[in-house]
Amino acid sequence: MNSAQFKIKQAFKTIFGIVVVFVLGMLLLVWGGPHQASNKMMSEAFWANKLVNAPVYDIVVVGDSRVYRGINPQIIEQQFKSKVRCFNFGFSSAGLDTILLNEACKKLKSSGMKTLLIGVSVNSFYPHALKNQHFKEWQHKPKKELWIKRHLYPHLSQLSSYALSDLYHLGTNNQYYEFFKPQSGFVYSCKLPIDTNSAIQPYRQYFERTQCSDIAVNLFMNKLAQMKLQGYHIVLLRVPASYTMWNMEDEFSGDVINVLEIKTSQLGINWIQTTPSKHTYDGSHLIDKSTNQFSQYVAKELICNLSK
Amino acid sequence: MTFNSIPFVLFVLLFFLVWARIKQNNTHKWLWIVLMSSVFYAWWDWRFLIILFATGAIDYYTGNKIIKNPQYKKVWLWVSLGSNILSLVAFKYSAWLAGLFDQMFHTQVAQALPEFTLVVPVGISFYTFNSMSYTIDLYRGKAKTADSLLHFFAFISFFPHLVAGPIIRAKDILGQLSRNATVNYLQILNGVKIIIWGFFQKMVLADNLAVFVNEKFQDVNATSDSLTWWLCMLGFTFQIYFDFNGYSTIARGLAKCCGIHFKLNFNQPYLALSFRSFWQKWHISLSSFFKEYVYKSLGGNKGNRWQTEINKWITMLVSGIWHGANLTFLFWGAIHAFFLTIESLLKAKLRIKIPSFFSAFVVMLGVVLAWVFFRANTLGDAIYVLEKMLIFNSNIEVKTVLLSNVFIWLVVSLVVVYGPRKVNVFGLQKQVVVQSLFWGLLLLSCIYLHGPEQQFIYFQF
Repeated sequence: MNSAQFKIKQAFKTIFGIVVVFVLGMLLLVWGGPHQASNKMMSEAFWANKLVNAPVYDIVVVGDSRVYRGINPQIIEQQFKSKVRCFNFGFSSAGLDTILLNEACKKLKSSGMKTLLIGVSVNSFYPHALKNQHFKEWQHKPKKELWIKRHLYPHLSQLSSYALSDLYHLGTNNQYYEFFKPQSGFVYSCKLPIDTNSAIQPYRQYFERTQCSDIAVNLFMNKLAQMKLQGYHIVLLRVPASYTMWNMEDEFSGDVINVLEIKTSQLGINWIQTTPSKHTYDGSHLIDKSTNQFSQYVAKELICNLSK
Repeated sequence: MTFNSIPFVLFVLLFFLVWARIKQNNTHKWLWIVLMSSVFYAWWDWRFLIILFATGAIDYYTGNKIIKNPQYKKVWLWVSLGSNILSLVAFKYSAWLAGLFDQMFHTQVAQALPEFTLVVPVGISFYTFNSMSYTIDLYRGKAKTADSLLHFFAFISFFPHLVAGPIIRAKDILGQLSRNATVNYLQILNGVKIIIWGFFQKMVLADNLAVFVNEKFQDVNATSDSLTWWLCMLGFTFQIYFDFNGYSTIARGLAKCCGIHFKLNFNQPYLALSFRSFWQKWHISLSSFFKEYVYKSLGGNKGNRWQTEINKWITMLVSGIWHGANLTFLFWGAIHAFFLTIESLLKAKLRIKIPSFFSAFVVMLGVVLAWVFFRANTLGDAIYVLEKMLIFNSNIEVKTVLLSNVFIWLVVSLVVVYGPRKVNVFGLQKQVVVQSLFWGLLLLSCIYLHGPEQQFIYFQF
């Protein structure tokens, strides 16, 4: 065998070796690799599913991250005696504008309960949220991309990449856990260690720099009145956050939620009464376990509301 | 279809599966390249194909005319250049120019523009330049005509270089494609290694750095800390290098697996000791295009010093605006032109020898500051960021910086760019086990350590 033939043979062995190392490495990581606190591929599948699933729901929950991390549609469905389908259409930093509400309505079955459960946060009427960047980012993704993420990613989730935090927090509990439920649009999440003040400062800085939009609040109320005329059943609630968070939000927004509650009640729109919670992991989002309890409460109140 | 996507992996497997069987067939291989490259491009939007093949057909036709009717060759050259420039202006610059016009004269031209002008076809700047170089080379007698329209379409649409370069001249690729190149395992291995290295640069380094950079530039006013902006701009400096070099490297690797050699597009630009050298090492195919077809056409350095400097400025401004329809890119080009002028003036006046580490530092500093204009969304944002960087005011604890993700990726980037040159990843010990482990693990890192999927930065150009 001459030198050139030898090199070619070595090259073949190396290609084979790369494939072996790659496959073995993947198997090792799948079976015994470090735990992933948040699976990125499941996250992508989760958001893609929110955008393209069919209008088959009786109840759609809409709002920001407090909503999609706080209200579990599966638990709501279980509380109803008859078969009801519920979906969480929450997006990060969602602003309650006409576009988002229209999209949420599109998920509802044309016949049936046609119920829109809207989680209101003070932040939803602030300029940054009203841009609805997260929702629009997904809304504008090409259909092919959404199809791939929705249908292929759940099967490839074992190939999801690690975050650096997964690696340098190995063996500790300092992580941000997220378990995505694409079928219901809900995320179980918890950030460890729990720090009920960690979200306060960023929110405060943001509120100090900007102002709650009265125009957005008025447009929201007009839209609610319009939807009510169109036959939608609308129920509002303020999703729990910590006492400090609610107080700060009320202080900066001029008590916008209370004003909203009074004005929408005059329109005949019902509210589910909620209180601040001690069980948040950052002051803004409920701890995974307490979301079950909260979702049960919401379901019961919703049943009462619908039976009125 | 981007290189770092699942559809592309399936696409490439299909391409090479068939390519291995038909590469010896002189008709089928050209057809296969055109067909698959069309699928690759149409994945974005099938209508883009019309522009690609329409401008290509004009260039092929005018190219033939240049050779057959030499007395009218200048006319045919202008027809070719005109059609390419027109398509660039229509699809890439019209909305921007109309916006500027409206601002200046308080008109409403932008609203009257047809809808198609609002969407920039992916990679239009690259394939029009590929196509233009063909007719210019024919005009200058530096190339031969393509054998057929099919061959020409294969050259302009060849998927590895279609949407983000490297910009390739017809003479460099048509000859290689015509040959019945046999590709052995050694060439495949080299191709595979280059591809893995490209993916590592793009998916692991560039995409992880992008997280921090994108976050900061989304709302520049939210960050006023100087150290954060320096970290961010260093992050972007490496992000754009690994992003674009990653793409070019993957393109080279793919071409190599087809038995085609693409020239190097980046040659360690961040080790340059002068701005002139930086431009000889950065995006080499574009720099040489501008040098050959713009700078030299203007007279190059044949006139007096000031004429040379003016030619340099025009070339750099054209290069800036080629990158995007925004004043920020024009400023980026102007800043580099300014650096080049200062450098040549200093070189003429100063006779002292400057230590190489100092030259490298100054060049790097200039490049980092200039990238601010390249990355910022508006001139206002760029000035804000520069102000924050240059008037130093930081309250961030060193510990916070050291523990941040961006810092960790910056350290890895620094090791890759400035690490000892003797540890050349392509020349690692030849033992099968060492190489298999190294490249296998690098490939694994592309899967398990990659950042959030980002489109290649240069696709927008």
